[in-house]
Amino acid sequence: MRKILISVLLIPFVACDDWLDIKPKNYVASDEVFTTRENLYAALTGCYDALQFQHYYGRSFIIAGDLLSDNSMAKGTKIELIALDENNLTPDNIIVEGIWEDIYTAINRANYILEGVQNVNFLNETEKNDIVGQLLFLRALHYFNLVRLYGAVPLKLKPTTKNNPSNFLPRSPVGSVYQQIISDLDSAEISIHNNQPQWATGRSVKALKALVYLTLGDYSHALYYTNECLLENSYLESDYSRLFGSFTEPSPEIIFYIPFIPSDNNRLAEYHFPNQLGGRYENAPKLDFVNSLTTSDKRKKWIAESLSTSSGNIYYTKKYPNLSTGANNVTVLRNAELYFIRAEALYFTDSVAHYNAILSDINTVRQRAGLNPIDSASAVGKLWPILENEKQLEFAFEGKRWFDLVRTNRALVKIPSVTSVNQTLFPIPQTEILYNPQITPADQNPGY
Amino acid sequence: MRRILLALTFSLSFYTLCAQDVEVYNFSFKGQKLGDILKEISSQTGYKFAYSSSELNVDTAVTFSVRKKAAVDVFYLLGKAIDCSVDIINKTVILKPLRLLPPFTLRGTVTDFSTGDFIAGANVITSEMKGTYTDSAGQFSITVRYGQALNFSCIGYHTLNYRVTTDTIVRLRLKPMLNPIGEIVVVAFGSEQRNLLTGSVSVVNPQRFSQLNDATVMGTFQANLTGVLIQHNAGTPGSSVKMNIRGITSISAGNSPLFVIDGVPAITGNYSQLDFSGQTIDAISDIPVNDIESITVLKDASSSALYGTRASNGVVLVATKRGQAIANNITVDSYFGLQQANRKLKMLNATQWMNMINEEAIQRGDPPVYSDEFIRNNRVDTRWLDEVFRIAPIYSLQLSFRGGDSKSTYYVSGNYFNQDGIVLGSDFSRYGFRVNYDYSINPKVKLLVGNGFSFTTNNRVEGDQSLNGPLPNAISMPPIYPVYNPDGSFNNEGPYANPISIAKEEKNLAKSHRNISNLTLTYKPTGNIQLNAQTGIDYYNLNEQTFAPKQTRQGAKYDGLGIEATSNVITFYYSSYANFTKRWGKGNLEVLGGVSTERYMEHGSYLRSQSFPGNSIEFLQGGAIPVQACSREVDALNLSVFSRLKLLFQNRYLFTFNFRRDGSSKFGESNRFGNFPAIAFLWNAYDEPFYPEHALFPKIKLTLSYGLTGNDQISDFRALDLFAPGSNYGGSPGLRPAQIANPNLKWESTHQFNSGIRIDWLDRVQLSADYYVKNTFDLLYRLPYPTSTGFSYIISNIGEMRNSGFELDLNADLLTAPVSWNIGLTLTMNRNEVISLYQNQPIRNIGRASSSIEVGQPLSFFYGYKALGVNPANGMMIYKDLNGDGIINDFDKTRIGSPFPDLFGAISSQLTYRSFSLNFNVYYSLGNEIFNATRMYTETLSKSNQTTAVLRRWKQPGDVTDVPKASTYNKLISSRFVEDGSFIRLKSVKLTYAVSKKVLRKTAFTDLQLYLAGKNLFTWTHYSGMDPEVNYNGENSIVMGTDFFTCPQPKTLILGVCAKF
Repeated sequence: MRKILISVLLIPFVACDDWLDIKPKNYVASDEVFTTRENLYAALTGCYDALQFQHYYGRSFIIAGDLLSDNSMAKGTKIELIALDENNLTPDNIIVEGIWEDIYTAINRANYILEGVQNVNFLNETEKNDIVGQLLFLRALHYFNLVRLYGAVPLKLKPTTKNNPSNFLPRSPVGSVYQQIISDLDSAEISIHNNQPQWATGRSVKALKALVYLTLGDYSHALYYTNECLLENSYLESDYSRLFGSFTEPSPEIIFYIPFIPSDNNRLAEYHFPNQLGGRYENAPKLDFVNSLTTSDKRKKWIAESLSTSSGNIYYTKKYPNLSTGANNVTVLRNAELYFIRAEALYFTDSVAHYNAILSDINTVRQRAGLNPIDSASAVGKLWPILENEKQLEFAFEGKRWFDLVRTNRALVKIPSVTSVNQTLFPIPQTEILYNPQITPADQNPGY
Repeated sequence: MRRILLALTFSLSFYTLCAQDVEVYNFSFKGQKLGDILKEISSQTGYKFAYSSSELNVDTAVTFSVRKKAAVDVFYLLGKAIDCSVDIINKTVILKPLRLLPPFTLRGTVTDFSTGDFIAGANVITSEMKGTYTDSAGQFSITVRYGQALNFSCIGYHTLNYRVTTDTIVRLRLKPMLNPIGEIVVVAFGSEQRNLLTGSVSVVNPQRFSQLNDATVMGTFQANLTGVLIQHNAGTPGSSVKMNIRGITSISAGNSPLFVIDGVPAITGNYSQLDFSGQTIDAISDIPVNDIESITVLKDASSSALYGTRASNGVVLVATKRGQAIANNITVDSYFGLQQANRKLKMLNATQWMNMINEEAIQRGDPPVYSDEFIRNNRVDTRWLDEVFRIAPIYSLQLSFRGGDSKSTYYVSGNYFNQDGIVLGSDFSRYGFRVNYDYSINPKVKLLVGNGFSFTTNNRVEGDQSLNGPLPNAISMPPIYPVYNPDGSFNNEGPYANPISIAKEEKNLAKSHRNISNLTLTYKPTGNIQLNAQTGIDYYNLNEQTFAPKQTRQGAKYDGLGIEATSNVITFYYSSYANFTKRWGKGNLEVLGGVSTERYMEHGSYLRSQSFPGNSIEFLQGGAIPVQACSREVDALNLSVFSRLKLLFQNRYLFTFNFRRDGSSKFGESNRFGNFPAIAFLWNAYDEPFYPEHALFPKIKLTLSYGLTGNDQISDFRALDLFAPGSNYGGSPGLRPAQIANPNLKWESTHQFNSGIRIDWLDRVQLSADYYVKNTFDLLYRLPYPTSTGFSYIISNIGEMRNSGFELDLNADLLTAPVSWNIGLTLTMNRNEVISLYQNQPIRNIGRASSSIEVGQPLSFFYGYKALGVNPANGMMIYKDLNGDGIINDFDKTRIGSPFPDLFGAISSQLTYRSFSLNFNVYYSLGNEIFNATRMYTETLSKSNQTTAVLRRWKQPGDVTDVPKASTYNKLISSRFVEDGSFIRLKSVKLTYAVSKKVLRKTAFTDLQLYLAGKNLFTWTHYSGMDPEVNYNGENSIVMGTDFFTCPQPKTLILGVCAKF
């Protein structure tokens, strides 16, 4: 009896330190990520997943593109969105912080895989370049979005793996950021082999390049790349349900889009639908914009569907129509935009010489929307407003209006609550200034 | 022999009465040898003494004096003085030491000093630790020797020491302890006599506050423990209760104490996977309160160091009831009550609301929304708060059996508790069953077995932050919408989901099963060695089911939504330890050493489906679109070695030294193990020879302790470089970098110093005061990172915090008989200060009050603008421009309030007269401030319903008021929404009638009590919200004192009965 008891009591002394080495069951050790093909491609998928963040293409980035402009107004309860509507941003605004954080998280993921894939030995050159190319496209897209919103931003090209002061970078001048973007896109252009539009494709690289050059004012390059793309494929979809919603077969018009399925969804529908239908109604079309839509415009019911309520009709967008499942795909680039890029580049090159070409591009898109073409006589002297308006109609609630107005220096004219050029840039987020020793309050954008 | 003595005494006194002129003597001896004394007396009286010199030591010094006593009296008095029996035969006095007399059977009755009732189950123990119990009639019989010390004790009474005399039948009366904490207190790995506690410990005996059960263990004992801040987060039944022992010690790691039930660390915390907006449930709610015998809270390092890295937040030791060696008795305990909301917000009625909407529209330049005619003819004026609050029942029933004999004892109980919430749609019920069995296999080996099983069902309603909770929606919903449409269906035209529809049509069910088993084996090979092995398993299973059918607002969004989540947690515990005691003349030494291990396994799964056919199928089989399927598992292991040394010297100097070495799988390889030592010292000053002997002088004890404890409540695997799954895209699986690894991660450590004084006066007044300082360093901290790095934080050990404070516990028996009156007062002052943070950078924007953490301030104070009032000229808020630069921005933000009370505690009183007793308990909290975030939505003229405060809003230039006009500028986080939250609350009042034992003797009952009680009947406060004891976010230990549409605690009236037979 005594012997049994004593041995029972001594059991724990047999235990050893190794017992404390418990491996996590819901994680993969980082070094294992680069040892198998499956893990590596999963990590690449993770980089695309970053596009779906709630403050990026998953919601806020798209909403901001319209709410900041004259397209829409904030009708919900979120004070950060009301601030966007009023163009009254502060460094602690949740959207200002959120977009910055989400894009940089996406950049970090891309940097991590870019660095790790160099040393992988189970891929051949073509596969490696394909992966690298896709990652460079993503990174270029991220920096392009950042630089347009915030101006000079830290140019982080290495991943953050340890707590190290080298993680903290100062703001790089806008020119350097664009240089990096172009260089990344140049490398990506030739190496991507993929051609499904939810992943980066050669075409998406070229389309993005066109937009980048347009923003930089390099119209000849913009035209070059736009033409390259449109020559390959200039299709304009006639069935809008293949452009918005939960389509599984993307229309050939789509160059690059982000898929959302019920088990990997977003809240875009929820933020646009009115309360009566179960939404938050945070981003609603402005009444004067709604009134400017013609009834025969096929896009009208996508841009401003009406709902009759006890206090009259209210309007909401249905470009994100699936409220219950949240499966609403987000299109980043499609052919229609290329038409407008070309038109704009031609306009700023020589609006007189290219008058007909510009009008022709505008009309192509108009006709797809079921509207009659504008005849060249009635457009004289009004070409720019027409171009601007048509683009507004085509891309309402796709998060583009703000960028278009800022790029063409029209924000102060078209948006009543924008009274100073300072408001065309977001403030650098407060947490960045607080915690990044390389960025001080003096480095803040003017006016904030 | 006894009878002869008695007879002799009797006849002798008769003799002395009759014989008037007998000769008398005077003697006075001081410390003289007995032999000389006998010679002297013998020579004076003429009697001879006869004794055996081997039995009687004639060299002992004796002090003895008599005056004017007859010879025979002198002999008997001498016999008493030297403990001898006296036999007088002719002229010889035979002396025989009484201790040599053979043992005899002492019989007696033990009764209650004040009521005279018999006390059953009282312990009767001799100095040789042999003993018995009184039976149901309070009677006992025990074999004793003359002069032996007997100890009579019973829970709820002061112990009585009785020295055996020549009496063979005795009647002993025990004084009831009105604050019955008991002489033996459960401490870490053992128990200790109350007067030898070196650490700082608070003890609760449930009998003091019985039958006023909260759903949760800690809720029931609020305020009667000094140093322990227990706060209800909300009045939702079954919801978690915040418990902080001696302040908050951590920012990122957990702040809740370790719960140990019957020696086994128990599972606590929120395992719900559904976000109920801060109103969380806690696994500890599964423990039925009625099964608890005692609760000891270990507050300082010395008492808790034996729990090492689990101990920084204090330790709560819970002991469940065990059997007694008495004839089986059955207890039935039941009560029924009704609850109601104490105070509801006053909201606008339909006309007032419509007028406000119209005025706002006109101010904006729009036409009025509601025509005068519409307002006049409107018949709909729904008082939503009245619809959603209800009078809710609460009831409890417990049946327990207790009994045993000298070999084995048992305690078996079954209980049922049900509390409906005062908010429609919420309720909590619990079934429990426990068996505790103690068995002595042989005199040296004892086995203690215990098993408690409970099953709870909790119908939950969403809280505050979603627009889908009955209470927040009822507050926000404008009164012009009716509850029902003419056809009987729920009206859903309003801006928010119909709160009644949510309560009645949506299902949010949480069911849990819990089973705690423990087994202890003790082996005493010799009198001073004890070996213990202890093992326990705690199993907790939480299953949550949510269903929102498509006819509800929430369900319509998803075409019917169903969620099912399950969490399974098992902890397995094993420990073995040995005690060794050594006694010698002046003191004793006790050494304890042992090892323990604990394995934690958690498994969770989560399923979500959408698109259901109507409301007929609630389970996921009916869902057409599975939207999420997730499962995961986490394991952790802890190994430790511990020891304790106790040295008691001359019964008044006690030194304790504790040590524990802990290893945990949670930390980086370089920091797996930690050492946690503590020392303590207790001085029973009143035992000192120089201490005044006078009974009226208070007995004073002083204690000091110092030690180190740790806190390991962080999530696992923070030290490693990992990629996480779940970053899926377009149907393909994705991995992503999960965190910045920190291989040097270690636990937080707290140095604690405690000093205390314990004063006992006349056994009637006990005062205990403690002063402590706790310094926590290596604070586990989300070191904020600029998000341009791709991460917003890295977990590091940086930062220091200090908690210091003062505790006072006063307990006084003002009157004992015939009216007994005991009062108690507890007072706690805790001051928290953040000493250092990483580069002294503040952490901001935590929670809805924008709480902030900053060096030099208490943790988590409210941070915002200082509001100076409303500008009468334009109706806008004026904020203080702190830096005088003319702009109101971040640089003008400052501390605007703190949720920590300056002072809190309780005043309690118990008054008993014959069969009636009245007790009450008042809880007070002074100096705490509340951030009333509800007012940011109900006093800011939005389109939701507003409180009647807006009737005095600013309307035109010149208006002087405190409610500004509608603008986002006016609802920034500022002192406008910070209110004084001090309150004094009559927590409980109870009137009990105990049927007298005499009456009960004719029945089968041995005890029958009826009572009427009230909870939270009155609250005195300046706070304008529904309940000053409020915290909308129970999840986050940093967010405190913030009200956001939070459910208030109800006031309750209870009728109950407690019967024993």
